[in-house]
Amino acid sequence: MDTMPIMETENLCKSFTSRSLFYGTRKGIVKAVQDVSLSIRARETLGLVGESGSGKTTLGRTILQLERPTSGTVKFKGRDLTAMGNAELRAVRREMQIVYQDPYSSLEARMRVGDIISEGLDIHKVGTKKERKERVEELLTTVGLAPEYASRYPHEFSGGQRQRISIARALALTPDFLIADEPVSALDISVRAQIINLLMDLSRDFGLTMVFISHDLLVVQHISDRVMVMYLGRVMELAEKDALYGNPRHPYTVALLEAVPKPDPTERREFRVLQGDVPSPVNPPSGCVFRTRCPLATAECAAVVPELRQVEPGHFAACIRL
Amino acid sequence: MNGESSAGASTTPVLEVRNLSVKFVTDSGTVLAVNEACFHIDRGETVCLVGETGAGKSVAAFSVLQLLGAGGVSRRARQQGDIILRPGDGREYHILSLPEHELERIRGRLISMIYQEPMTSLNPVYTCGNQVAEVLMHHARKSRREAMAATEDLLKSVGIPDPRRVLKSYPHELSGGMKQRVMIAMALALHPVLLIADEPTTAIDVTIQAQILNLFKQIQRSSGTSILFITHDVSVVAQLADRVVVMYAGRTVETGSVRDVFCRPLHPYTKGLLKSIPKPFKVGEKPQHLIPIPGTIPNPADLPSGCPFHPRCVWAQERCRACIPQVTTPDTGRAVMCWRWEELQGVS
Amino acid sequence: MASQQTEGESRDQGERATPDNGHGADLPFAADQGGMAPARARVAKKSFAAKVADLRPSVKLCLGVVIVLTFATMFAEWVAPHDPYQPNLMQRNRPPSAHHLLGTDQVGRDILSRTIYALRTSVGIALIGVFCGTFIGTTLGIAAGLLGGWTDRIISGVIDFFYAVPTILIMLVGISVLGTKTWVLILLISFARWYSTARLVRGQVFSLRELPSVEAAIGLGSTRRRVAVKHILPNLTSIIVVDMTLKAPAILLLESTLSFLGLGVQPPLASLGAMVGAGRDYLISAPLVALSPALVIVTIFVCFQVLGDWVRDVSDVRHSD
Repeated sequence: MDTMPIMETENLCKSFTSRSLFYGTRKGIVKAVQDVSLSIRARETLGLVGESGSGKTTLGRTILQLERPTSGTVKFKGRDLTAMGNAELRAVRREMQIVYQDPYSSLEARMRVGDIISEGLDIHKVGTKKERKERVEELLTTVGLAPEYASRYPHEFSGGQRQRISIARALALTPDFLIADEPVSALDISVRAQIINLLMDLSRDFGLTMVFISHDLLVVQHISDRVMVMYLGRVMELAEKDALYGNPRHPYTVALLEAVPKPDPTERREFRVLQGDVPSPVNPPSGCVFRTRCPLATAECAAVVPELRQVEPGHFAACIRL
Repeated sequence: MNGESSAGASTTPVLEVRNLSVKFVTDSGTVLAVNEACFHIDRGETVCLVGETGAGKSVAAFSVLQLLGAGGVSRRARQQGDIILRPGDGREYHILSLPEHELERIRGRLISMIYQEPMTSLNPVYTCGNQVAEVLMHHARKSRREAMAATEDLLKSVGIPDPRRVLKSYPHELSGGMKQRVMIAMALALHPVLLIADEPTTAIDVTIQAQILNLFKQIQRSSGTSILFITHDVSVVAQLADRVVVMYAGRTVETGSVRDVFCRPLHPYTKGLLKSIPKPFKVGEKPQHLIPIPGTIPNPADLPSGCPFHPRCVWAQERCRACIPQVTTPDTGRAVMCWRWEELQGVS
Repeated sequence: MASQQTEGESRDQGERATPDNGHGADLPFAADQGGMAPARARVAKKSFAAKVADLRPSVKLCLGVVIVLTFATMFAEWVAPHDPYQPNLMQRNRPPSAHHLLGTDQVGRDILSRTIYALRTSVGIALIGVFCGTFIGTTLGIAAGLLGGWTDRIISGVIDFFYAVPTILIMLVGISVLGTKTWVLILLISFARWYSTARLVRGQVFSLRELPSVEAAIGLGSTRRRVAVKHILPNLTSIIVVDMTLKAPAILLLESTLSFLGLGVQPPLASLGAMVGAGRDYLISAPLVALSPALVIVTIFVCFQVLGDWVRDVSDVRHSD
């Protein structure tokens, strides 16, 4: 298995300045992503989980430079994306793509499906008109849609079909790296399995490296090789899937897994819950961001930001109490 | 035809929905949102109404309270069937034929409801204390001071750690989970016999959802309130429900106890649904393949002929396309709407 | 009849064009996938004639008036009974007669003919103004919205300035500096109301650029210019059209006002406003000299307003689905 990292981030940070709703003048700084360093192996599927405010979506977009990082670097196949100018970046974009959560607003309503899928080919001037048409038909078939659909408009399709169109668009330029940002969260339950299976098959058939962002822990367990847990912009735990789900080390991961309801009525119990609510990312707690809800927190946790250490081979957690 | 036979039931159900049909007349045609739905809720029981988009579960629930748009029942809505409420004092209310002033006495007092979006369900210009107390002042005729004191107790009983502060807070100052608790407090203020919860955990994070589910379990244990819990999350159903009503395209396709429905599903849709959701697996086990249900949920304005599920059903036959299956009740409280349920028992 | 689909091949179930379970593909979307099928594909479209008949009476009336007047201006040479520029001092200020349907003006020219030609001039200038102003406003609005930063601050500042200063004042300053030639008038009118379009477009661009579909284009490697043309602009067309129809009456009135004051179109070229201005002195003796152009101004103004509202209503309905 190819173990050279295809994507690496180092101390990646992304903050947004926002005006307070109250008086319009006060500025808050939303620290969406704080100091994330990770390396993603080629052909692996990395699951990125977290609740709202965890920064997982922002991390995905910052990696692809759809948001420019506030600080830190991102290296794709060894090349530093953060240092690239616009023109160079545009060329690299062929190799890294994204599929969005909302199937309704991610497809241009006024463009035909065929044009939507071939837009990447058009931008980078790949192929003749005829070749592009063939490629579109090939892609439509790959994602499970009829080739005739190329001449229709997005509003004629249902949510799941639109996601397939989105996936076809992302695959048109044969990228090596794909970020799937909650691709099934907006779909009906009976349809989710179709898209999940499709993504798994495609990533296997095309050798894609995929980052699967989701808040649904069971879906992530199903699809990922490794899983990373985020909370308020920081990485809490990173491990191989079996290690994370079977032996979670970080107290947040433990609480998260405890909180997920299992679809088995014979296994019912009171949930062991975390107290309190998720703090606002505008004013994250000092030191360990999880300390306000952590059952193991001590005074020291407020003083020191725990670094992501290896607690077992290949298993990393950011907690000073371990 | 009543899919739920009450012969053999030991108590009369708190709520009985018989052949409820709700349709909306729109410019682009008639939309049949609920089609001959049948189910009942016993005293103290939690029934989960589960289904996806267009299943009609929300419409059916809103129909119980006669809140189908326009602050009451929209002119475009046509309802048929019967909804019977038996609060336990011997009286029987046939909801569909009640006049508005009678309905007002039921809403909030005998039946109350909590909603999916805590953000928009609380009035932003009144404090939370005010909003909960208003319910007590209006229905129970309490004085303001009594109402506020009772509100503080209520807020504590739903697990709010600092009730005094929340009394004086405005909704936007509270988090999603807290707002949800305030709504639950408001709904339970008058000890209703039935609480309708419309997807209350869909819009909140999983750790907060766990808190709210615990709260619901507490309500189940300590108060005698029956709960009608609407959701599309099958896992939540498994954790909370006593009985389950599965809806598809406006029809109740399967009913039964939660164990029966999950462990021995009878309807192809239920079977398909259970096979298509990811389940947690033990470390080292081979991952199961997700088996999706092919096809698309039908549009309520354009339903297929015969059984609404037949275009997506792997076992469908000509009979399924031709006529709507009858509802069979193999057991008390167990119902299924499928021509082939018997031969497909045990087949997955 | 047993199913021919094997359970393990989950992707195939999604992929087959028709499910092999014995009945034909009456699925509207044969390869089935996804959430609910939209109903729109099934509703029959109304015929064009039926849609026209459905319109409100006021809209129908205004449409009719506009069509007639458009016809008149386009074919002015054939429609007008007399030469509008030909003075005839023997026939000054005559009342309506068989020969001159609306009478004659102060130098003997036929009022009806002159009104028709004036309509052409005024509406022509107004339309140029509308289009130029929209073009300028749209370009600057997109620039401000997409580029942000200092570009946005500068353009917004200019917009605010133009909002603060009354249009008439700007026109007067412009005319006093550049003179009263027709091209000056057209140039200045082009700058009227560009700023309202700019502000509207800028706001819309801000919300459009957050759309995943726009970001997806950037993600595919599109340049900002391409995004502006292929993704932003098509989504702006409906509000721009509405804005144009709502601006048109104001610009028409602006031109008429300037011409009325003598600062706009100069004689012998006919303009509705100028005619009203010239007819001021004869309101009692020969009222039609001023009244007929005035009535035309009012009529067109009202028609543009009504049609503008209608276009906006129609666009809103389209947006809500």
